[in-house]
Amino acid sequence: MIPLAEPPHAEDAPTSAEQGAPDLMAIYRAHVDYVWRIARSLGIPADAAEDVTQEVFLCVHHRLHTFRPGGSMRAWLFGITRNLVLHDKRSYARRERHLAALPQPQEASREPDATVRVHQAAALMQAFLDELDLDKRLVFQMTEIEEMTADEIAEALAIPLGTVYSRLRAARARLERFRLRLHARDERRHACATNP
Amino acid sequence: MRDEPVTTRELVAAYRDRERPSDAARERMARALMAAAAARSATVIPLRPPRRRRRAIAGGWLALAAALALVAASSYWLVSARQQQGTGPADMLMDSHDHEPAQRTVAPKPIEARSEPPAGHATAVEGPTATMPIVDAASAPEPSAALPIAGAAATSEPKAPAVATAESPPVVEPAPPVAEPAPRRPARPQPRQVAAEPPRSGEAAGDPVLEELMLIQQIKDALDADRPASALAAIDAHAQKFARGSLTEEREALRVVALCNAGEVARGERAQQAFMRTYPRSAYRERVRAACPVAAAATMD
Repeated sequence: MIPLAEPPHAEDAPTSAEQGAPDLMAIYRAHVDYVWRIARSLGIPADAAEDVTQEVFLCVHHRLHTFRPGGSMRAWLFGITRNLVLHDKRSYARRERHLAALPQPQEASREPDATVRVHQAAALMQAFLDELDLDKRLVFQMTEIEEMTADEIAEALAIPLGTVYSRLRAARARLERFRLRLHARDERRHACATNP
Repeated sequence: MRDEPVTTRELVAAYRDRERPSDAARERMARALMAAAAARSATVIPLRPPRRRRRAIAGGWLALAAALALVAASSYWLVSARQQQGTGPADMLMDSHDHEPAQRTVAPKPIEARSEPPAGHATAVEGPTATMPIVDAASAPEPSAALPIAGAAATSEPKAPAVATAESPPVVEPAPPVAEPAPRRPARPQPRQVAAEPPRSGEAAGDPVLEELMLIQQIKDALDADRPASALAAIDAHAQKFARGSLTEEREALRVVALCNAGEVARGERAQQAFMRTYPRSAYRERVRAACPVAAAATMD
């Protein structure tokens, strides 16, 4: 499991708030999607992600003065998000089980429509991410989707840089396999549709 | 879906586009955040404490009552423990979790403590014998009964506070194990009475530490009740009576809040700057900074 990277605390940086502390709403606007997706990948269901995201930013509001100006904002946000999620994990896990018992909503129809295609691509990505274990998933997601640097990721996850790269390589290899599988399935379907 | 294979970029773009809060959700969260920021700046120091903190305040009063009873019941070294309890209001002013006690600078002045007793002496119930109240307090089960006696006992020994301030005792409170079980249960309704009573009642008059504390509590109660004017009056009373009291820092922090709550933003900001200059490392720094909504709004955008 990834060790907890508690954000640096206030006592050693009492003046950090005075000197150009970033503005809360600017942080919110810049990173709300990121926090949302991190919460989602940490296992928060879509209907609870808004609550968690809001909680994260409230926490940011209270602890903004503890943010070290030199550090990565996204790494810091990740620490807060993960701590909040872990803190509430049990209740969310309970809820998740509850929801899992309900029938899954049917996937969108297969019309050849651009928005549907986007929708399906997103669903595929989601399916792929769900296949990965959390460590690889976070590295992959931070690299490909959030476009964070390897250094930032190493800071966020508190792992060595080499580990970031090796996890990323492994995740990409899996993605390649995933796409091949997908393609093969499409081929089969297509063949089935043309030759009844 | 046609046959062309899906590229990674396409997958990523689609995922990024779909997996995010809706515009409505973003808007909701932004509003909630701004409201929270505004609410925080309005209630800076304590002022509408959640239920959990109410209990903490009650606990503080209980501990204080227990310690006062102990002072009356035991020998001099316990007096230092009582002085330690005297820092209680500082705890009450703060959330327990996000401030280190090291940042607090409570510096009780021996002169103040020594000069107070004569004033209290006149109102104290019975001052002459120091040994009599000790026995009474030890046997009295109710802290409400023990409180005035403790005050009287304290005033009849004017050297006691000076002893207490000379040494700074460790945070560990050695006494409670003996006395706590007894006063705690009967005293449960007690804190509310104490908090509701005006600080100038007879029992407080005897003990400068307690009196100062009550005055601070009165300020906080007034702020809680949204009466900044009477809070300011109490602050002035405190400033007059305890110009160099041990809770000066708390008073000045509350003054900023009271001024800003009263709408006197200019004075509030001046007081705020003065506070920041005087107590640059204060534990209340953040709250005092956020006290004036105008100043808070300026930093927010």
